[in-house]
Amino acid sequence: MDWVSEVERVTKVNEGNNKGVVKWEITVIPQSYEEVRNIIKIANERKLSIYPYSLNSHHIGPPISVNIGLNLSNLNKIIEISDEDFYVTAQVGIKVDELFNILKNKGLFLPAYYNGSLGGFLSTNLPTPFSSFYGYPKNLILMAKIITGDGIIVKSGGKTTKFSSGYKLHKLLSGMLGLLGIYLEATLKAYPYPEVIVTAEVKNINLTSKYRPVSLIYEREKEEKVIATFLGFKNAIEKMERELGIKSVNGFYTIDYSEGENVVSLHITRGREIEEVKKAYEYLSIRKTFCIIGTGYCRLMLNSFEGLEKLRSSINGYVVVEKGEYSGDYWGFRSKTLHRLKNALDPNAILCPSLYVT
Amino acid sequence: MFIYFKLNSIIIIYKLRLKIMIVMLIDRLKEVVGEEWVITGEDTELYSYPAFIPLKVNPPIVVLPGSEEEVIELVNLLNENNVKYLVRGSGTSLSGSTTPTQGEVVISLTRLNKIYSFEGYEITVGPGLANFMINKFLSTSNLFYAPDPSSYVVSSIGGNISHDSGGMHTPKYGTTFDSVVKLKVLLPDGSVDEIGGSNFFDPTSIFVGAEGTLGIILRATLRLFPRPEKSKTLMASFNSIEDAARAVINVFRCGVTPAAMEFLDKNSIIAIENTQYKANYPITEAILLIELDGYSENVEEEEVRVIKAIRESKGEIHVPKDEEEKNRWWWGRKGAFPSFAYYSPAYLTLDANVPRSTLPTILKFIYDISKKYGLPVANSFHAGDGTLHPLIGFNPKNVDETINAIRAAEEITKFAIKLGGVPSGEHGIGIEKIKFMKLYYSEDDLEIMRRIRNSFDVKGLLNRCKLIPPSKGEICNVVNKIHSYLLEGDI
Amino acid sequence: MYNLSLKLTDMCTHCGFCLETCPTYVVTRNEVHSPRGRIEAIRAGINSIGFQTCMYCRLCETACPAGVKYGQIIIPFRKSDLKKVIIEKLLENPKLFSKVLKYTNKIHHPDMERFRKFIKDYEITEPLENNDEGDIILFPGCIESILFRKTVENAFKLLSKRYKVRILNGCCGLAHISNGNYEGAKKLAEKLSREVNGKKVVTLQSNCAAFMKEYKELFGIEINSYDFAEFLIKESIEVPRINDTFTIHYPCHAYRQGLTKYIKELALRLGVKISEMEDPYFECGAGGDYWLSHPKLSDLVMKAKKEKIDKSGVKKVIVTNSVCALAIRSMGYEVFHLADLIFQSQ
Repeated sequence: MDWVSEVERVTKVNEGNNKGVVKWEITVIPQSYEEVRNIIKIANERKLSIYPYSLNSHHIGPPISVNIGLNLSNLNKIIEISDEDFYVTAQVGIKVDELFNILKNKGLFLPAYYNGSLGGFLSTNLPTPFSSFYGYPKNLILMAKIITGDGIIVKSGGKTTKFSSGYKLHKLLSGMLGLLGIYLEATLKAYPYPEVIVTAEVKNINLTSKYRPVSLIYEREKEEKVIATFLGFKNAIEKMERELGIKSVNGFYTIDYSEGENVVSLHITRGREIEEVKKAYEYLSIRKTFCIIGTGYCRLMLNSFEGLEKLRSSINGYVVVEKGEYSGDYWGFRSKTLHRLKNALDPNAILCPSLYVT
Repeated sequence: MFIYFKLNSIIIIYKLRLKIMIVMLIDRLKEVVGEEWVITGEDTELYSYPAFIPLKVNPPIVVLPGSEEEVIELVNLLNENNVKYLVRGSGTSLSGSTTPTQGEVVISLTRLNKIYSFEGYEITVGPGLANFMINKFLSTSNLFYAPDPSSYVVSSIGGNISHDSGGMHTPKYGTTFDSVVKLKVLLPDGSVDEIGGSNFFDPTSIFVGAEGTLGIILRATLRLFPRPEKSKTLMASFNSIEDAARAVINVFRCGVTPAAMEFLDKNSIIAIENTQYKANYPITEAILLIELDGYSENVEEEEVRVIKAIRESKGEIHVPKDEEEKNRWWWGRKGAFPSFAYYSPAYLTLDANVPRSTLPTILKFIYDISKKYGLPVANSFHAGDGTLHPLIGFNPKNVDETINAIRAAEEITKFAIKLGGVPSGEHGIGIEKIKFMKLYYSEDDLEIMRRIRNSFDVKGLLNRCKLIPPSKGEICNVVNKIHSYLLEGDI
Repeated sequence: MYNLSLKLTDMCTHCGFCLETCPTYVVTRNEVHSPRGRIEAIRAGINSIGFQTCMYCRLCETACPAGVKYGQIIIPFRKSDLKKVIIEKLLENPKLFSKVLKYTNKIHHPDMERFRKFIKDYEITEPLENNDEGDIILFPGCIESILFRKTVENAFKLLSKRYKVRILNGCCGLAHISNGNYEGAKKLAEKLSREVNGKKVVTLQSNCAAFMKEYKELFGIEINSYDFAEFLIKESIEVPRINDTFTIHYPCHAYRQGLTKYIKELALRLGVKISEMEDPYFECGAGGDYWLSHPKLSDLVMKAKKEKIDKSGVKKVIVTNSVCALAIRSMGYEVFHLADLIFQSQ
């Protein structure tokens, strides 16, 4: 029997995708974790490659071609919300902005916003409009159910805010872009929803300011600006606005990670984002930039990749090519630890092969 | 009978070979680190246990390398000779992560205690540096290092990372995990890897909380937080545990994330008031110590709401009259563990982490257990994040009482897991809680953890028989009755 | 005594909070040379070298959450030797000591080489003595009286303005007990008690004052003892204002006994602008006679102390203990007793 028929026996199969940065031969749409496991088991036996996704809106890295596109968007339920213990457990197919609003209605604040699925949010680990203070998606994960490259479903972490009871697989997989394993569901930490969240353009405010911005974003296109987000109680925020002489709007900074054709990110010392990005302007032709101060992450939308290698050798950190056709190494770093983890978690290397060579 | 003798003699010959190998090894170790930094003889017993008291195992050798290069040479030497080893910081692991149960050579990293650099919001330090030294270094800066376990005056950064230590400020500032940016690690095969510093493909997470089973941390880059403009302390006293527990939830519900929220039960209060930690606490069923921080105007708003939430939960508010009283209150809390010596100098410290809402249920259970085993118990609780620290007193010279204390701890931990909690919130699994891994995880979960560990520690030399219950094929040396009770048997 | 020590070790929970306050641990990072390690050695019945490397500063006791009485525990395990016995005997008799020093100072011997590194020949004098019956006793301290005679004269001058002062030269017994000679220390305490006969004793060594305050707990003997600064504050003795900047070193035992607040208060009343050093109570590195018996470790501790003093940014240090003064002076600073500052402007 050919492999497509074997897969058809265990799950729903659709036509593949031969357009765009990621191509796959068939699309599978599992309805349960069991189905995911069966698909992966077949892939291991038959040496097939898999690319997991929900919306396929934010591929990061070089173009890749695989056998199976694993569409997790049907696994999109919310499993539990606790407004006493402040966490939410949901499956990876759910959209993060939906989750944010559902939690908001229950008085819970998830310091995250992402125009994609929970699975994408976790596996890309891109900083959010609140990351200056609240950290990356990785920092929000309390517990997860994941499936390894050879089809074993494991639990890692706990519902509690502290966990020292084993390896943090639930955190490890975040930012791995599906290379080591696939998230099936995750429990995220939530906070009480603040009375107000406001955003304004500011001057002379940095993260150590007494007003405690939870986000400080340096933006540069034609001109430079710094946009801060504050949250707290209305009276306090209003007093702050008067003292600073600013006029803020409700809400937070919108990050559109699908913007731009040639996109690189800088990964540098936290607190030195603005200094390092100025260096980038010396080497690269940049259309637009934003840096999330305090995270060490800057996103640069380029006109071309020329000068990238020169920047790589002069910067104190990494330059990653997230989007676009680049002839060189997209990532610019290797890790022996990652190599061992790949062997342990995806021994037959069926997940996203050639995305990142360990 | 014959087979028994043969087996016995094989074991004797094996142990003899091991002894000879170790003697030959000592000279080579001295060449690497210098003679004065190799401890053989009686003094090795001083490294036989960290802060986990019930189990002491004398290591054959202790080595104190003075540089990263020496550590690498040591590991290569031990690898070549197939000698088991483990790495230790300040020796304050409450779960016994650094107790050399398998006859390991102990490598103490206390001499790797430099501060290498401070740039932006990051500071890079050696693993042997005591936690408090970072904020001492930053005393004139507007940044601070947030994770502050009560042992911060002595616990090492390497140890903090390996256990993912918490502290009182986790509700707002997270655990050690949230403050680790980069690591320089020495893998068991002797190769060095520099990891972290990017949101993509960053394997740093696997080392945090790995309890020294995957590799050695040579250097760590840590994230610093901005100091808040204002910090305010409130104390709330309650006539019942249920009221205090309800207050904990109500504080969060009123939209406040406290910087710290600590709970002390009556037994804890009595102990503190009778030792040098005396803080003039009201002797009530429970008190909550709450810290709010941030922009001063916002802190005032938070205070108003917190006071309301406390009063709605039938609590009485106490405001410190001056800075000294405020410091006294927090110092008393930091003394909750050591002041337990009032009941018993030796005690087990549990750290089952439970959902905050289950606090009254588990506390009642703990008091019942205390009666059942006739052992003194006091509870302090990181109410801000659900970490419960029941302290169980026992007499370590009495083996039966020791095992009873361990049994009592087991019942409590089991119950915590049943309530949706985890076996350890911050002290780690070590040897103390290794049995609970079988209760909390499935066999598949444990298999994957073993796979990961084995892909790093291929030769099986690095801190084995800890953290992950041994698999069926794995041989673990059992040293005595207490070790046997901790490691084997059902749960 | 061993049994008492063993019993006292029961209170130790092996928490390690003492480690980073212990000077020998701070410079070696080795558990063997830490209070926790020494107590464990006692419990395990090990004859550890750590027993002798302890500087007996007892700063560990200030950090111990369980209140373990380390100072009492370690005494029976401290070894003495001929050199230490000789030094003890000499300390008891400062006049004899000064004569012996003048003589031996000419000898070429490693100990004397080291001694000369800290003390110049001209500084060795006979102790100041008087025959007055006195209402109060001035107890300069064993080496204060023969190496810092000017300070003794200053203190005597000041106190004589208000009181009839009798100078009593001798030894408080701290050196003895540090060497494990409990009986020797007790005899000295008894002798002192007889000689002072209930009168107030003012000492120029903050560590002696601290030790005398422990006589009751250790030997059941009570002496009405005061550290110099403590006496001036409690008796409201006025002092001139000198208006200069200094940093202050707080001798280890004085810190433990809470006497440091008087030192600081007197300095402030003198109009001193205090530029704090890092960890002002950290062991100076002298450790009684430790600087002679353990030169390498002593030097390491002094190096660490110097780094801390440097952070004050000043070169003038207030030191109210003679061996501390010798150590800190050898690091390149100018040392002053509070008694010296009173007459500085004159």
